[in-house]
Amino acid sequence: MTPELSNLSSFPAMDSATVEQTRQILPDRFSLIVQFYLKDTEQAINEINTAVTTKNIKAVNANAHKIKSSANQVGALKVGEAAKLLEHKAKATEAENPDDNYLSQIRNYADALSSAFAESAVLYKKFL
Amino acid sequence: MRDKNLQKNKAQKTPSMQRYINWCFAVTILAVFILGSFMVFNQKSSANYLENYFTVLDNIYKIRDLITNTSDEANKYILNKDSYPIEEIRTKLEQHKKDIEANSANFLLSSYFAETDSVLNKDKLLTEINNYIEFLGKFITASASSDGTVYLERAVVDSRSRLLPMLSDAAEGYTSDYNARLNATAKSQLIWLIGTFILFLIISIAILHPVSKKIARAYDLMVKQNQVRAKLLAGMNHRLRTPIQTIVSNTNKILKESSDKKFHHDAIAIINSADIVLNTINDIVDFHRMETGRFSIEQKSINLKKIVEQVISPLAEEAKDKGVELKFDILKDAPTSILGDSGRIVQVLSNLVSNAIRFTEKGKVEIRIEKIQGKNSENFLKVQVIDTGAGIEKNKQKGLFDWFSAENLYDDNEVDTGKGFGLSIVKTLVKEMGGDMGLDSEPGKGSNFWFTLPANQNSASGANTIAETFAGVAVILAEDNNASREFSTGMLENLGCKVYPAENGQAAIDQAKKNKFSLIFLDCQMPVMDGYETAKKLREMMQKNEIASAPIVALTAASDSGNKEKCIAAGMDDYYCKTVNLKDYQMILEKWIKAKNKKTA
Repeated sequence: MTPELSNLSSFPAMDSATVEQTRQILPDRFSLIVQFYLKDTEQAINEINTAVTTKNIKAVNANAHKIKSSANQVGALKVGEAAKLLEHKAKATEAENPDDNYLSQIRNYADALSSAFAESAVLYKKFL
Repeated sequence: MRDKNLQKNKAQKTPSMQRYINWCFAVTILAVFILGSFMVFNQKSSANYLENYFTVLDNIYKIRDLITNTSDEANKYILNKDSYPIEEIRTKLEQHKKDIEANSANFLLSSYFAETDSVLNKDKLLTEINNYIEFLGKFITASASSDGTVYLERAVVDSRSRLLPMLSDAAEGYTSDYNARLNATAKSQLIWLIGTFILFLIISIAILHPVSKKIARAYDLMVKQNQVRAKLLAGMNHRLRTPIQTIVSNTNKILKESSDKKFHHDAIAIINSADIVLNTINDIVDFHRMETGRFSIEQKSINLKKIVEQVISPLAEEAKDKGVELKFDILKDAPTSILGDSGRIVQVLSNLVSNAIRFTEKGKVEIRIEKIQGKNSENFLKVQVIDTGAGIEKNKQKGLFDWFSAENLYDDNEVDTGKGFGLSIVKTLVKEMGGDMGLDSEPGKGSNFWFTLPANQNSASGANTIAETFAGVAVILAEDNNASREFSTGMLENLGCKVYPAENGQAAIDQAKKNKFSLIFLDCQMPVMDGYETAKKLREMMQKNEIASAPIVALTAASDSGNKEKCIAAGMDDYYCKTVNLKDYQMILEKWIKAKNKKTA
């Protein structure tokens, strides 16, 4: 595991301050926002997994970018950070012509993202 | 229909709680009435006794006094026969005999006399009185002879030795009896009273126990039903709203991409139907919140003109299509802003205006706002929605705003009157806001639905003032990420903006062609058309005056070096990295809206 991925554990799966602040400002919308976050992130992770299999690194990058944005918005900072790392990795020069080693690294980052999402989903589902 | 009849029959056969309680009360009242009658009878009997007591005692004393006086007089005659004229004593004794007979007759006639046999020794007393009278009679008849004097002496002796003590004993015994009966009556009354109370208590408990059980069961059932309903509503709110929004959004998308006119018509019907379903969901959720008291009214400074514009804007096209003129008039004396809940006021006014448009075939719908004074000279705002529609008949106006009137819940002719569940909700909202709501309508001439609100104003600062400053400011928000778009829309609406969300750059351009906007937010990475290309096209269109000029602000999650320059080069005015919070949006609005002196749509 790379130092970057090891460092993920220092990010909270759910940042309570962000959640509380958003709930306070948008009491009627928060549930819908979480609903979108959970549904769209799950879909994007599925697309990332398919893209890794088909070696479509551009799609990996686009979906990771999408996840990063909404995850940070709702306070799922671990997911946001994992998505950022995957996005950066998928932008690397190897993406032009991915070899097995590079794909293996991408898969590790994608798995870390999946784990982070699974962890956060448990916490966010209570707001539905 | 058959099912309905079955349900009706079943309902009729099932005794209602009310009927059961009525029966219980009837039984209780009957029992108390019977016991009360016994008490009254008992008291009446005691009163008769008292009345008789004094009559009988009076008789006894009279007879005793007469005998005592006459006995003294007779004794005088016996001792002084020579000097006492016989005619005088005869006359006196004749009168005395009559008096004794009369009083004895009274005594004998007394209804109570028969009941006091044991105390008065009635037979002996009567025998003695009769003997006394007989001796007096014999003396009067044979007064001149010596036998006559013997009879008189016997009368005097007998009366003094037996009759007078007997009468005194009778009076004394009778008084004792009276006292004893009085005590007994008091005791019996007390026993009746306690008995009645205990019986009442037993009957009450016997009745109330099952009633309280029924009430407790009914209450438990109601609480459970409410919990189930709350869960159902909460689930329905989420599970229905999201797919319906998806239906609307996708139908809109297909509508834009299709050129088939027949399809356009059908697609619009789908969108309109989905809107009706969404409004109904909102009504039901609002109803539940009101029922459970789980809704609150905000008190923020709001701009009335912006509120009206916010209501009119989405309805203007519908009115135009029908050929109905939609206008509003805020009279000069009306305040420009009041303290209130903008969302709720928009909800109320939208309901009335959309109904008015729906049920007006030709003519106009006018919103009129004026200041009025309440009973205690407090200021109110009166908002009237006047239409030239068919109007509503008097009998249909009744119960129009009622929650649980059968007409309101099950009226199949809703279309005729324009009423619905929504009117009950909006009236409740108005009441919660401290106002009132009503209707003036005449068939054939139109309707005037009106409501009042307290016209309180303050010099609030901070968030309220900000919300007022940006109230109704029209902005485009182009964002493909659903969660981010919902988040940013909420934040901007919280600051008072009227937000037009777009899922991609092309949708943002389409929005810009329809209306004037004060600010355009663009996400950089979007499908169909990204933010850079969108900004370029918008700038070109602004330069050609095809759309109104407005600042363009980039909101991006990409933090790459050089991205800001790329945005500026594409024609954007500003650049912010997500996540952008409420304060950031406030700062952006202050920077670009205040600086441009609030260019509103």
